[in-house]
Amino acid sequence: MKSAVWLLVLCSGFAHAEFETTGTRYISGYDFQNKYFSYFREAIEQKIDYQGYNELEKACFDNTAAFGFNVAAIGRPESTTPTLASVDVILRCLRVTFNELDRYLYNKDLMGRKRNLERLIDSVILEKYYTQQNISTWLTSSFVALAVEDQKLFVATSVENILGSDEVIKSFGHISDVDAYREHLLKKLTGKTIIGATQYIFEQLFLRDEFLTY
Amino acid sequence: MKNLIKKIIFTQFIAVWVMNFAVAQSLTGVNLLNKISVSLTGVMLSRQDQQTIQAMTSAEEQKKFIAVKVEQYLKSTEYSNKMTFRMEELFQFQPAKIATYDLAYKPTIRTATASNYLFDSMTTQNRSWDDLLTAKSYVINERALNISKEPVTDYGFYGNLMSLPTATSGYVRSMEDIPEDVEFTRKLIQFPADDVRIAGALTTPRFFARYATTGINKNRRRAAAIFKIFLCDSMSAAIPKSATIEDSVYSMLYPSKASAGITEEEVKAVLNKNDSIHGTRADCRSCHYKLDPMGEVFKFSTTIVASKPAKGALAYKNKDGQLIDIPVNGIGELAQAITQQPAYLDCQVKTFWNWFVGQDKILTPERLNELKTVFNQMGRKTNDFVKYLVLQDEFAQRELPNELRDLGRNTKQYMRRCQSCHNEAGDYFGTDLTVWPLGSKDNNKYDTNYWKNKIVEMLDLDHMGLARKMPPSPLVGGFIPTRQELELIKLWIEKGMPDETGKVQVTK
Repeated sequence: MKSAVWLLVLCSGFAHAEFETTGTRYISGYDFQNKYFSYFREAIEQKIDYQGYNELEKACFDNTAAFGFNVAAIGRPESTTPTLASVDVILRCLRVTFNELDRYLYNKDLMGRKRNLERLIDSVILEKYYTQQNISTWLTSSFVALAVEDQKLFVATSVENILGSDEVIKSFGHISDVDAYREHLLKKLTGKTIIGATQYIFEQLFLRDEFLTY
Repeated sequence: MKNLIKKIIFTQFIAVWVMNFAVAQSLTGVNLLNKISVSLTGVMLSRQDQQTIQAMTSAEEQKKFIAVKVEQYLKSTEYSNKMTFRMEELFQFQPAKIATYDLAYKPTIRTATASNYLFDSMTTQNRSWDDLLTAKSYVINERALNISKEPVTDYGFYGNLMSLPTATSGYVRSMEDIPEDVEFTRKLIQFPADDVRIAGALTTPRFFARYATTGINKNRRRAAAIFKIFLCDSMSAAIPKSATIEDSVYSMLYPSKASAGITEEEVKAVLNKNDSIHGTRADCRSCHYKLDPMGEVFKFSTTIVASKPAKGALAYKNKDGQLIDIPVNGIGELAQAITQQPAYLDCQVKTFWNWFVGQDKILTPERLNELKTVFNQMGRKTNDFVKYLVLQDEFAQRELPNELRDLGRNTKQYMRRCQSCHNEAGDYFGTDLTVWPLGSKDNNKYDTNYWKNKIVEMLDLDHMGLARKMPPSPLVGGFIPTRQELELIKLWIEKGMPDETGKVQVTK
């Protein structure tokens, strides 16, 4: 209970509720798209397939206004800060990306797979568990089946890859205890598969002010 | 129990106090470099660089590392792309949809038209910022039409001015119009330095298409864009109300909606009846004395630049209220004249400030003057000035979240839109909505409380704008506030109308 109260206090500054905050500098829609796809570029460059490609474009690029692009009719962005529409688009885009990534991982030649995962999953863990033969099974196996230390490393690397080092994260003033935040994320991964856990972490971190502002 | 309550109240008080009066923190080391990286390239500092700078123990060493990294960023493709995007936004060009295949930095619309080559070269060649207005050379590309869907390709646009492959139809409308034996690649075209028909980004297909002209707007739209982009003078359309103006006529005024089945001649006939109304209104005159002479330089240039230059003038009142009236012999001369104006210098330095430091950071007149001097000393070179700005103390500041301050800033930003009509040049009733405390500009003829009630009434905030009187309809040059915006103003009033520092202006 004590930790639940502590978490509540800790989480009160989470970015979901802070899209209205200004005085901070939000990255542009163009930056967001570039930043977003820097994590999936390897997969995208190899062109999943035509249909998957279209799905991705539709989910991630059609609503440019939600990313803060100028709206031609009014000559400026629709809103000065990300809105609920932005959250919706980001989450939808992630879902489609992971779906397509999933299809890609199962359908394409095995050599490409590991490279695609390097931006998503810690390289030490990949080295340890990854083999070309077991990849599909491994990605869909339970996250908690990983050794506890590896689970922690998995979360820590993702947080650092997406939000930055502890010092960078703290400088934004939303998270004061990065260890507690990682712990909080880790608890949420129980019951998820490895690829599911990866997607969950991306969904959580891509909506944070530490990712969306500078 | 009493003590516990006291304790809770005290803790709450401290928490609120900290939230509302937390000061900005000054970023150093890895945090500063990360901010620079995102600001210049759009991406977070690499993991390796984070580790490198964090391993450095002396501030001096970190400073040197930051300087080296800034140089690297300024030479990166990511930076050029990002700056091109900023320039596109500045010109309010329709954003090109980034397709997934563009992400591998393949040629895209961002570098595939004359305007975008120019934007790109501003950073890749560290050109003078003035070149946006005064450049006389372009790189034109065969992909322009296919990608940007402009009404005319670069070849068609400039083919009227110099010998380029042409098509039998006159304009190059598609690749099929180009004779097969023409080697069709990117091509550098150069106009003489004294060619008065050419003016950087103003004489590009994208500018012409974005700010299309009609027989009615007579290039005023282009003039308004130039005033806004280069002199930071935003003007709102003030269209007189008239029972004779039908909705279809308004559709005609905006070319994108010109499908109402009414001819331009019919529209002109209706509008001529209204000329007397329009001509006598102070708010109309306050813009037209500027727009009309500037629009004249585009007189013969509708969808492409005319081979014959047209005369016009740069006319406006400077900040001291003096009338500036400079006759020019073409778009090129107009652009040159603009770059000589102190108002241009003010405006462009502010644009850079807003991009890199942030428009929420107050730029004092003294600091503006300092920056203008630096900008000039650097020959107005784009990258040099960017580098200078990101290494300033103001850039290194990051303010912690503060509800009242942010509320005040958001509201001020919204009020600026209102003020584009509620200005001294117009004949609108009201005080300057961007000078706070409200009413102080008029020596408090009416106090802040009076203006608070007036805002509540005019926006009908009690009923979330259901019977609002302001802003006026878009048909008469106004705009429709969103529910989010109305909620913002309501909250601002409820919280005591805090200013940009978070200081409450009204306590009752």
